Amino acid sequence: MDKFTRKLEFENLWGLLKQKREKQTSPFYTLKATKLRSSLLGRLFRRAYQKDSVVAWRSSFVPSEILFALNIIPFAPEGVISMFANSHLTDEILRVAEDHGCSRDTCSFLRGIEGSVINDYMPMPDFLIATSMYCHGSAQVFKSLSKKYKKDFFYIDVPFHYERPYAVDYVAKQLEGMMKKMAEKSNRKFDVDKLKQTIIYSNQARNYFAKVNKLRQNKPSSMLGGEAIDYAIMLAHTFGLPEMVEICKTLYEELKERIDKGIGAVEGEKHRILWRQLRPYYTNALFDYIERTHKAVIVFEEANCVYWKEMNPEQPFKSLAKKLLSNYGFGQVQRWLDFTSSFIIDYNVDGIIEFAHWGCRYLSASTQIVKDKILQDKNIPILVLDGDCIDRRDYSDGQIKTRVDAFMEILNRRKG
Amino acid sequence: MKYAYFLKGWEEEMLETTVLAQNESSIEEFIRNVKKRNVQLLANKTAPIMGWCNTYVPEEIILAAGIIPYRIMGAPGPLILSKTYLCGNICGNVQSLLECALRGDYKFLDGMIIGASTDATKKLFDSWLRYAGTPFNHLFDIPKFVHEGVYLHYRESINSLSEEIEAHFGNKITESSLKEAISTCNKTRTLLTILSNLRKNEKPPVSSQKMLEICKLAMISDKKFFNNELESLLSKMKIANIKSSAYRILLTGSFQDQPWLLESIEENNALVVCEDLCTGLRYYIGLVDEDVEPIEAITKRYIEKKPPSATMISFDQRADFIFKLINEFKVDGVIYHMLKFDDPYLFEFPDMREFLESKSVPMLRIETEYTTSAMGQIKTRLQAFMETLRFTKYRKIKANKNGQVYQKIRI
Repeated sequence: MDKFTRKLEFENLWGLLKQKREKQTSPFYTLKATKLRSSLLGRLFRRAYQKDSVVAWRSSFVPSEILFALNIIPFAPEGVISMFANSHLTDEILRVAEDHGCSRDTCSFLRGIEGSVINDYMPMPDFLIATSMYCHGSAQVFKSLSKKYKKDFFYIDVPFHYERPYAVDYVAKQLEGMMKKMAEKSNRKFDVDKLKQTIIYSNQARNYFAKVNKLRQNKPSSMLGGEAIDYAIMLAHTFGLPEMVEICKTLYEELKERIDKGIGAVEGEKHRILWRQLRPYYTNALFDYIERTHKAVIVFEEANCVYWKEMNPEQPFKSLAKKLLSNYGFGQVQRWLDFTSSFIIDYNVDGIIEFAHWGCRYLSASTQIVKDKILQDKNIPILVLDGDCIDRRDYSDGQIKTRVDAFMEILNRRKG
Repeated sequence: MKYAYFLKGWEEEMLETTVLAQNESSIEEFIRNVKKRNVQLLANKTAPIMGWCNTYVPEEIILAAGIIPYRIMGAPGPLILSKTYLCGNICGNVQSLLECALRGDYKFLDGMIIGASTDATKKLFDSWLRYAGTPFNHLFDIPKFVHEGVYLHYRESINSLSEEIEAHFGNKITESSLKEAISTCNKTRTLLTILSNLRKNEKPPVSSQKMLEICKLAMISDKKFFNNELESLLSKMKIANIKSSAYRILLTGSFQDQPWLLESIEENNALVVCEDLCTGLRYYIGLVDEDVEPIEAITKRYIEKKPPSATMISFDQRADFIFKLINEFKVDGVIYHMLKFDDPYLFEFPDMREFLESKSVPMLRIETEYTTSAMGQIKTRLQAFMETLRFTKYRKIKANKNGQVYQKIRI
């Protein structure tokens, strides 16, 4: 496979988008920052299909700062699958993957990647990078695809016992080794100063985003969850770019302006909801129904949490390692519970909704513990919606809405 | 092969029945003795018992602390209690482990070590700790890559486990106790390998069901007693050089500790001659180097020498190992067994199918739920597979005569 094949992949994708795309108009994109965000992601997406780009496929949590320092285009296949789902393009892709032997019980994000590769929709990678955090399957799939593409696969082994003294240096060493090898393979300069600069940008964006999260604690909430949840993908994908600083700054200023003017995201906010996990990407109806129909505003999504501290540019690899290790969902469930408990207080939450993605053992398996502990300690009701973020074949709008209605009745009764 | 006698010529036909019967009776006696000892061990506990799951947990550390390692396994049957605490889309083996713990099957354990090999087992630990906890609980972190770079990670996991065991049980792990434990575990592995290798013969003296039972006993018994008994069994085992028309099967895939799948396979004129399973070769292949610093040697064994499971991101090593087994055990077909929701094997399957196809090895995929609920369907599929093997075997012979490579078959 040479680089010319990216043209074929782009043509295939373009053909698919033209023929079958069911355009969903999002009722949520109300902010200028959101438009800037879409534009940035679109630009990165297009560059990944260009012949002369060096492209690295990265699974969630692989630090994008390193890639930007090497002028390598990060490509997040899981994120792209969510985009395909949004346009209802995944039905065919998932079917192709299943015909190829992928079990329907596996994560549909990963199944979608396999199907897209079989159909040649994805830009050929120069590198594939995965971590041992969260999703074990993504590392397996990336490794398998690296063989198909005959490209280098990098695996960042992150100790599950993140608190052990060796962990930071152990991860930092791997990150440095990876960057050196990628620089060598792609004829890029291993430029630590450039990495320091991306870390500075990353810090600036982080600080604005942390301020955004702080503003979202305001009552009434200044931003719809339906709009905010799609920022989660950026948290992992675009940190290290100056454009990201601009987007986060714009978002901060827009929310501040709304708060100063006393504008709420929903008129007559009734309930404040904390959202756990991701969302069904093939429909906007669920968030719209919760937020606009029931006036239950999703005031915060755990996926948007800025869990890491500001990084020290003088120690770039150690800082990035600390960022990886400080992920609230990584480690034993108590760590995550502590975060959830703090969100409940900080955001003055009335109820929690969790969209439990079918293929994700890691996130879904903790649900019962979270339910028990949160109910016991905080007396906050939780609604768990079992579903699939990508595969819409089993999604039942009516059933989901009935469950949301029942949950809202509980919240109404509790408020008297 | 020093434990086996080879019989040749006409005598073998006459002695066939006798030899097989003698072997079976020796094996039965061995199993009875070990089980009896296990009952005594549980009744009069002279040392703490440590539960463990996952073959990447180093038993040597447990033994070196004067504790008896005891692999916990699930039990087929309805999952009632575990459903309350774990989501339904998690591997049946993991659910069954929690089910057994919740209903009190493992009350005799003084501690539990869960290997963090998959997302599901990491989460099992959270639930275990909260709902089923044993006096000592430890999550043993396992790097998922076969590479020298992860040695540090595994060594740190060993150090942390040792420190916690010493602190909780008050037993010191010394270099000499570790060396002794390594030697004991190595002996178990060597003896099991010798027993398993007897199945390279056309008529294996030990059936796959018995091999599974013996391997399971190795994981839960007093190892020194087990080793002595197994050594004595091997000295009694005899091999009859008898022709067999049965199809030779390699079973690989998810955790499998119940004999029903093996029985179903062997009902169809087939012999499972080797099991690339966590209750099979992946438990006993690969020795710890006794001439090297113990922790270093243990690390090397578990990361590099042990046949990798699909949880390790190392498909090439797995594929090479399986192909080696196919040749050594003269395998006619591979059965790839997956537990529903067991992601590492679900994700690995397409690659393994492609690999085996490229080597012209027939393969059947079976998916179960850790119960016998779909046995009827599975039996039908096994029958169809054996029919295909008959066809393939015939073509293979024919093609070899003509000097041609036989055609690939996709199942």
